Order: sequence, then C-alpha cells, then structure tokens
Amino acid sequence: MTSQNALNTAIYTRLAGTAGTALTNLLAGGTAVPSVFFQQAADNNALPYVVWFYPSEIDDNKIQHRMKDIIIRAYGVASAPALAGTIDAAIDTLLNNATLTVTGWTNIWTRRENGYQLITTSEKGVRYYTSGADYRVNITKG
Amino acid sequence: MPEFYGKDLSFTWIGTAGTLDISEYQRGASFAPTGKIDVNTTGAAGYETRQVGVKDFTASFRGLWQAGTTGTATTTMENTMRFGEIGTVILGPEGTATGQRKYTLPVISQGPQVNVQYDTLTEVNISFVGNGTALYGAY
Repeated sequence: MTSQNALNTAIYTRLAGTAGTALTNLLAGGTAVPSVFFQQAADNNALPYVVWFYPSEIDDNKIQHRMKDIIIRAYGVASAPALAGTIDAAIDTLLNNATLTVTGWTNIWTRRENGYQLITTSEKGVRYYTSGADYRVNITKG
Repeated sequence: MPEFYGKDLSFTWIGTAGTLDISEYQRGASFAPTGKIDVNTTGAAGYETRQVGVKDFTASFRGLWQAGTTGTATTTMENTMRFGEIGTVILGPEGTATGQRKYTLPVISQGPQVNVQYDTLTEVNISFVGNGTALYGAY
C-alpha cells in the first residue's frame, strides 16, 4: 500500500477532532459531523467546511528506504473572508509542525509553506471565500 | 554492458567493536587507489624511467543519519567507526550477488562527520585512510 490512504486517515483524524475541536467548532457540522472533506465537499454541504487534497507527491529515492515529499493543500471555505481566515488559522494550528501518525510510515517534517486566499462565485451569485495553505509533509519508511 | 546506479551498493564495516552493514543508509561510497611512481634512470642514463612505488588508497561513505536513541543503528554506526578505529571496509559497488566485484579494504576510520540542518535530512560522511593492501576480489 502506498502512503496515501494512511496519510488521508492521519489528516482526517487530525483535522476532524482528535487533536482538539477548535477547528470543527467553526464548521457547519460541528464536532458531531465534522465538515472535513477529501478532494471535494459533499454536494450542497452547508458553509463553512474544510477540504484537503494532494497537489504533489514525490518519491525522493535518496536511500534504500522509501521516502516521500508530499504537498497537502488544506483550506477553509466560508461565507465571509474573515471566517475563512479564522478556519485557515485553525488548520495551521493543527498541521504546522505536527507529527502525523501515518501507519507504516514515520512523519519527519510537516510545515506550512504557501498560503493563499481566493473567492469564487456560483451561478446563483453565492460567494465562496477560501483561505488556506500548502503544507509540506515528509514521511519515511521504518 | 550497461551503466548502473549505486542502488545495490553494499558497504560493511568490520571493526573491533563488531560488524556493521550500513548499506541501507548509503547515498554513495568511494574507493580511490593512489600509487606513488618513483623515478630512476636504470638502463637509460639520458632519460627518466619509472617504477611503481608505495601504493595507497582512501575510501569514504556518504549516507543519511537515522533518527534514534543510543543503541539504535545510528549511534552504533558512530560508536563502531569513531575516529581512529582500525578495521576493514567491504565494498561492493553493484551489490553482493555471486561474481560481483568485492573490495576488501583495511583502513583506519576518520570518524563520522555529522552536519545537522534544521530543514533537511542529515547526512553523515565518513572518510577512511588505507592501512594495508587493498584486495580486489569477488563475492
């Protein structure tokens, strides 16, 4: 098995509450049904919510052990820019400098890199304020 | 015959403190023989001729430092190959399959050099000075 499923589990458990509820308390589903999604939010999910995915996953091939240099993009989507920024800060607290528990791997580096904010508008005129960042995650085998 | 990458390189240290195979941490190793060439004029008074003098060699290992506490692979590597340790390096550039080249190198270790960086992997470099006859054999 590659690292992706294990890392997905690590990120979800991290963001969805095991490391604290400061983030989930900000989201539509609260702590009961955390609005934290991989790749894409559920259809018509109420704002605000969090999405993460992988823009990049590189095998380093530096020694015989497997090592991966992974970029995670995690962002909050909200109806107001300030709330999106607050969600981004809560994500930062949970991910930056965290040691993720990735089954079969050892997480040796997790740091925020590129932050960004943007806005998209639906055909119905609803504005979605997005605030998030890329996090570099380095994991190694054994 | 094809070129090859060093992914199968085998590097083993045999010292007074034990035998240590650190191949899995390697990013490269070298064996560099040198030979002194002496000058004489034997049989050719008007020209210099030469003869092979004393042979020598150096060897080195470059790899990634492994995290851990005392007693794990990293500290064992440092302890067994510390500066001044006398031992033997067994180097197989293409691995240990039958018939592959095997260098047996009596050496004195100059000790692991550690350079720790905040935001990148930590490399360890070890240099060895030849201490006898280098053997060109095979596995």
